Amino acid sequence: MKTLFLAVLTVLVGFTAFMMATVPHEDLNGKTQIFWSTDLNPAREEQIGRFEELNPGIKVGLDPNNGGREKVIVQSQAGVGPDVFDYWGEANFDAFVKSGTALDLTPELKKRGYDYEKMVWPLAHPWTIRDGKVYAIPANVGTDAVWYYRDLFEKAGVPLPKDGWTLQDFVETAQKLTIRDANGRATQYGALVEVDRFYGEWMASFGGDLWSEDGTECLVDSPESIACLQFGYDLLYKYRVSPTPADESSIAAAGGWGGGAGSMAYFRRKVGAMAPGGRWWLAQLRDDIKLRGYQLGSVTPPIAKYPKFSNGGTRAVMVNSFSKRRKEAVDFVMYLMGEPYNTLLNDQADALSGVKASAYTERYIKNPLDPGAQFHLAFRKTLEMGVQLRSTPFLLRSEFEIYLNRQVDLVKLNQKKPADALRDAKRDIMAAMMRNISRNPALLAEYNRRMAAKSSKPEVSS
Amino acid sequence: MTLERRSRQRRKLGDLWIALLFLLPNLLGFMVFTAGPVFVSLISSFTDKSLLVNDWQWVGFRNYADLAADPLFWIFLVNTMYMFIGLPLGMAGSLFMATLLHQKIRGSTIFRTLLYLPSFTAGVATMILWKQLFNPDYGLINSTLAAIGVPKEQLPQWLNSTKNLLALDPEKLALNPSQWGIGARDALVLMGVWGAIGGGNMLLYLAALSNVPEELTEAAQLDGASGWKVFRNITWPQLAPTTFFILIMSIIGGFQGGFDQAKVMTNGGPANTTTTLAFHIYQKGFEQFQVGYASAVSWALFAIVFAVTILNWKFGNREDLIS
Repeated sequence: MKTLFLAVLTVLVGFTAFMMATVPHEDLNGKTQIFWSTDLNPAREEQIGRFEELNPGIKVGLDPNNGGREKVIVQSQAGVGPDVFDYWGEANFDAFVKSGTALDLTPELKKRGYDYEKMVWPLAHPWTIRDGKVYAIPANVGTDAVWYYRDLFEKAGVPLPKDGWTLQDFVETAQKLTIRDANGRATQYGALVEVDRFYGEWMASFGGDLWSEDGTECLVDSPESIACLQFGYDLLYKYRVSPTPADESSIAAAGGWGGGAGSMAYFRRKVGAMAPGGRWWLAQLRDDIKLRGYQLGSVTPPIAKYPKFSNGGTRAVMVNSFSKRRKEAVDFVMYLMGEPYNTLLNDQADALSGVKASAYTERYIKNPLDPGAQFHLAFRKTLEMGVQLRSTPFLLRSEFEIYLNRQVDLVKLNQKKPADALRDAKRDIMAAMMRNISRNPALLAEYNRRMAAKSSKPEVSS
Repeated sequence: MTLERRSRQRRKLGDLWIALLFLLPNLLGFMVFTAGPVFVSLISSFTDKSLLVNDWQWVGFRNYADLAADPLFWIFLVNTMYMFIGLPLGMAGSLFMATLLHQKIRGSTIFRTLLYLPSFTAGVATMILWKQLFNPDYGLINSTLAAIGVPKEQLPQWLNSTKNLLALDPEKLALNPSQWGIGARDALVLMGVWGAIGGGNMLLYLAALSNVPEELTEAAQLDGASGWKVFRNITWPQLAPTTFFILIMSIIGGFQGGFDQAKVMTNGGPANTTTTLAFHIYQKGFEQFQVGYASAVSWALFAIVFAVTILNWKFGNREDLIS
């Protein structure tokens, strides 16, 4: 029996060694391969192709299955993370910088003569710059304008919306475009607006913000913030121009290609006549225009009080500081600053290019892939009005969102009034922030410093 | 004599080394992937270790004190325990199915395979399917309810509602009559019951039913006992050890459960009502990177499971059951 066991073991070890020795290796012809963790947008192939033409010594592999904050940080700490990776949002940016996963790109930008802050849209700065250092280059900059169906407007005899319109105009237009059957069930919504997204995107237009300037106080219960959430709520339950959560239960929560596309999916089915959405929707809407003859238009978002919108951000790319092919990875992200990439991206309409100048060209307005279309300009105009809401160093955005989303969920479900919900959200957020500060001596010192600075400020008299 | 003993000892020692050699791959795997992380998580639970900062400090029991003071921890514990509502239903369903399958009828193998299918099917695929079934407007469940006359305004909102059968408040540990109804938690319970009825528990009951001595049931039948009486007084007591085992394992599984459903179907919502402790550990550890705190929650969960198992063992009268 002993001999049999040993024989089996030897055979198994032998097989393993044979398999390992005969694993097929891709012939790279002396090229260095780097891996880019990004989404599966078909546009990536052409973007990579252009880079490889310009950098014949580097091959870029796509790694769509290993994106996301958790995977990238954990894999990087273990030494097996991607060389370059995408992220969206401040929570992710924070985490990558704090964990030391993001490489500081400032010296390389200087070396190549790029003035990052001047060249790149300001909207992208808070998600790519920390303490004066640039940690990421935008792959694109996204912002939501309002898409609409020209034919549905014409059919209803409603004039097309114009830039500079107000939220009141928006509601009146949406009401005229909402069609209900004999049972009162909507067969067409005037607008496809999700309450939580509306709250985040129109907050700046209402004059609200998430945090005080010094980051020591959460402002979600300010009158402006409440008015914003109230308006989002009213669109569903008072004006009834947009679907309730019951109607949109299949809508995904995350952003990016293939996700967060709930309202886009509905919009493509003509369930609604208008929808706030990004230029990147064109990746799918172009098929509809070609195959179904959709007649689309776009307009800047309706204004509440101020012409500014917190409805955008950047899908930025970082270099993994643990990468063994850092030089090639840096070459790749620097390619994102160049003209070839930015022109290609604007043609593809994968949102807008990160470099501002590329959107101020004739080619941007008259995109060769959309002959005769007039919907590109609104996105650039909206981006000009884009701002980021404030954050705090005292609480991670992901933890902040747990408390805020819980309350916004209750409003969305018509179980709580916006004012009550935001008051409770502030209570929970401030408690979490104080718990966090009490756990971390460095944060505590910084908090005390800011509070002392606040109390020593001379009072402003009228 | 002495030489013979020595050679026997040498042979035994040789056998021991060979045995260890064969055990080594598994042992190494266990040490590296199970025992090691468990030990590290215990140590981490007494530190402020975070994936965002390279150094860490020893904080003693502070993580445990923090979680005890965090209202969310208790709400998520209640969310986790809410899922136990389905436990007796699932067990009763499994027993019922096993009893049916135990009948000597043609094609019983096919029925057994069909009923075990939920266990073969990929969990994520099943959950996506259930998500469609729960769609309040277009889902099969509400369409059926509407077809049999349930008014539209009374149709459950399933995954879109914080309502629940125990009228638990979504924000605090309190009852709130306005929350009575059917919502996301109940939807997950229903899906869990469906999965449990035809799963491993059914097979365990089926095996246990095969072990019930036929002479006992035959004797009872000869004495004129009805089918129900035979089941109540003969079969059910014989199944007690299996029932006890299933109960313990289901409770342990229940405390550890809810992650897949939350990740795939609800993202822990609406309003955190489907966030269980397992999902909370994931959020803390891998979304907020507070590894120390997440480890403390894991060990608190272990302590709860351990305590409940001891109580079950003590008050479950297991000696009688096992004998």
